[in-house]
Amino acid sequence: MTLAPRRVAAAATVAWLVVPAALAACPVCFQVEDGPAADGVRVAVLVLMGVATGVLAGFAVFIARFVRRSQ
Amino acid sequence: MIPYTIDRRADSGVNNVTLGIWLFIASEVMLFGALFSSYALLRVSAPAWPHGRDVLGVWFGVGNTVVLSVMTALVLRARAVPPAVGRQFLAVGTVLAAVFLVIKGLEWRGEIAEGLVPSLNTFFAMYFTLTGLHALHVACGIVANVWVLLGASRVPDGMTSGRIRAVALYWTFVDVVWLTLFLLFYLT
Repeated sequence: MTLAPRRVAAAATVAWLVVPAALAACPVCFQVEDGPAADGVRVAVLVLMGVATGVLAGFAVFIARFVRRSQ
Repeated sequence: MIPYTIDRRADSGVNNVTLGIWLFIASEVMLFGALFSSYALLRVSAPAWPHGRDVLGVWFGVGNTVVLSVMTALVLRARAVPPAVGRQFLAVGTVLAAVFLVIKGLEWRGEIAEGLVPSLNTFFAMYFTLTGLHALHVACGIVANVWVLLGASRVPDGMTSGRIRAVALYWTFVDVVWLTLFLLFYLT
């Protein structure tokens, strides 16, 4: 590890110890009460993950086919 | 530079045109996927969500579904027939795509005249955004079809067949997106 990444890691550790809330993820996913907004975010994330997984699965199938044909 | 070949590559099993259009469709799926995710977020978190059957012209949607499905079937059929016949199918399909846009335009005009505009609520904001983007894809597809038809007299038949296969894949995607929109906005 070079000097700059070490300094960044040290600064991040200090910040995490001193102001942990500032480093937490956005409050939509954390520290929020259940309700329509939280449900909406969960469904939206699931939809987006489903779409992305489908596209990535398509790429995986194509790559597998590519490898199989090259052998 | 990638050579323009119409032969299938031994390694991938598809030609460059087909591979290119699949990659393009993958990027389009991500674009619409992000918007469908936004739709899910807004719909689930909304305190009230109007029923599509109550606020939209369902028969406009049904008509457009029939037109676009027939159009897609024609273009898919154009892949399996000789290029000369395939061009005729593609031409009829292009006219049907234009009919889709006309119907959509009439529907939008009526809705806007009634004050059903994007700023009214999130339902109409999403409705105009998604159907507008889809209509833009239909318009681009029409341009692609015209390009294929006009270029058919200048390039070999094999090349035209490859182009028809590419636009057929594109129109299948556009049709699937429309069916999803029809389900989300008009029927649920």
